[in-house]
Amino acid sequence: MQDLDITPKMATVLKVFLEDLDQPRYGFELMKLTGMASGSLYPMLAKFEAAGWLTRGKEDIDPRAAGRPPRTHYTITGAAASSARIQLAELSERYRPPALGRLRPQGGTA
Amino acid sequence: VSAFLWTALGVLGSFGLAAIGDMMSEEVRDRLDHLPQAILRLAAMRVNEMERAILYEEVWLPDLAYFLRGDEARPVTRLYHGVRFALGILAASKRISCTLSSASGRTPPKQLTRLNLRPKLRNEIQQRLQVNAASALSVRAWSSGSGKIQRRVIITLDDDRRFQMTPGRFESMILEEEERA
Repeated sequence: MQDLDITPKMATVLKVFLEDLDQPRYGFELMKLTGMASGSLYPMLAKFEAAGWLTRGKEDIDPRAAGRPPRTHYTITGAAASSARIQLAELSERYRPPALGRLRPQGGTA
Repeated sequence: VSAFLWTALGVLGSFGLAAIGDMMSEEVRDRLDHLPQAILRLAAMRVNEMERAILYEEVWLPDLAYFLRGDEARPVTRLYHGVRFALGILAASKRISCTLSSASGRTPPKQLTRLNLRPKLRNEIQQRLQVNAASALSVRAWSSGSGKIQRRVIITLDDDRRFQMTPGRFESMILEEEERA
């Protein structure tokens, strides 16, 4: 598995995969859940797949009964899930706003 | 008589125009309905040949079909969603291709070209692919891939029809064939 520099957009997609590791995700579903357009999402999926973070599979349907061809789904690998968790935590830390100074009561005497 | 004739002609003419209008709108609707697929085909042309069939037939087209299945009754919404989806893919197709190519480039793909098949193997492939007799099948690309990228064997028949197979069984068939040769 290749290391990837996770951008906030990539983090949004990874978060969906981390919600349920065994749940295969489809392109259309990811577009809906992340609010991303196809032009952003599909290159990202290709990047994850090329880096070995996602594996591709085929939807188990009867194309004649469904009236459409089976879609491709993606599942996150175990190693990628661990790496994603660490990187998401780092990213969250990076974007966390600095803590406010200690609050003191104005004019208080206590 | 003349006024009656003109009225009748007018009524017939309006019916005729309405029919032609209907036919034209049906034609336009049908053509517009295929616009997203046409854009996806264009996007596929911009993709490396090795990934073209997989991306177009297994990823983009099924997703488009699923994407539009709920919009059947609303042609304008269907067109809007379909075109938007396909244009996004078109704009990103080069990037997708480069990403996948660079990944598979880490282990160079084996190229097997123009394979003359022995009858047993040919029959087996024909049976698997459910195609009629072909004197020879050429294996255009053997995408060995790397990491988690699935390997695919793309088989082109003499009449230019193309089929893809996962390598598992095909690989062993080829090995058996090579050993026999």
